[in-house]
Amino acid sequence: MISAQTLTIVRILAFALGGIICATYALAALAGVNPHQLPHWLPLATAIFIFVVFFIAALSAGKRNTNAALDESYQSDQKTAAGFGFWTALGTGTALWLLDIGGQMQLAITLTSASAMFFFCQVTLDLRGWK
Amino acid sequence: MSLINHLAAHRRAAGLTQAQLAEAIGVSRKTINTVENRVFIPSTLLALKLARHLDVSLHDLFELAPETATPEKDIT
Repeated sequence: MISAQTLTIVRILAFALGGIICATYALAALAGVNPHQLPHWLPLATAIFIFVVFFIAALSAGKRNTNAALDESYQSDQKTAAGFGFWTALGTGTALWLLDIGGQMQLAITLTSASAMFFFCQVTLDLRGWK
Repeated sequence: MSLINHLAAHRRAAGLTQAQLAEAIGVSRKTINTVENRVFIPSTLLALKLARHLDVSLHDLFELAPETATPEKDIT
């Protein structure tokens, strides 16, 4: 059985990976003015991978340790991260619209940049109480 | 108005590490750490659990910082 601390480490690593992949996808799409600079299934596959990894880790940790890892400070951090993700989506979407970039490009960059912001915020907030 | 907390002192007095206290009340060590460092303000429920486990009153753990004197508004 893995501990709540280990589950938190798994979460930090999984979210960091998700953030890196989403940010890379958004930047590559923006740099190449093409949403398919990287395989378009990659962000979704990453999200599914993170879910599966965390689900398996949570099963191994048991109910008590999982609840401890997802306690009230985590939920508070998640709301903060979701807020940053929301404003990133709004800002990015608006900026792309002003730059006359629409359609698939706008959608791909907006969604992946918002996801990257969510993941990076979550990792940063998780690391805040580490020492 | 800020919250002063004495959680770290009471935890050490009880001979507990952050991890042991976290395990005992069913939260993560990070939560205990962020409460002690005044990064996160716990819910009433968590504050009561902490007080009960450390066998102290809530007011021994948390207290409001004294208010700085502010000029009263004239509402007449």
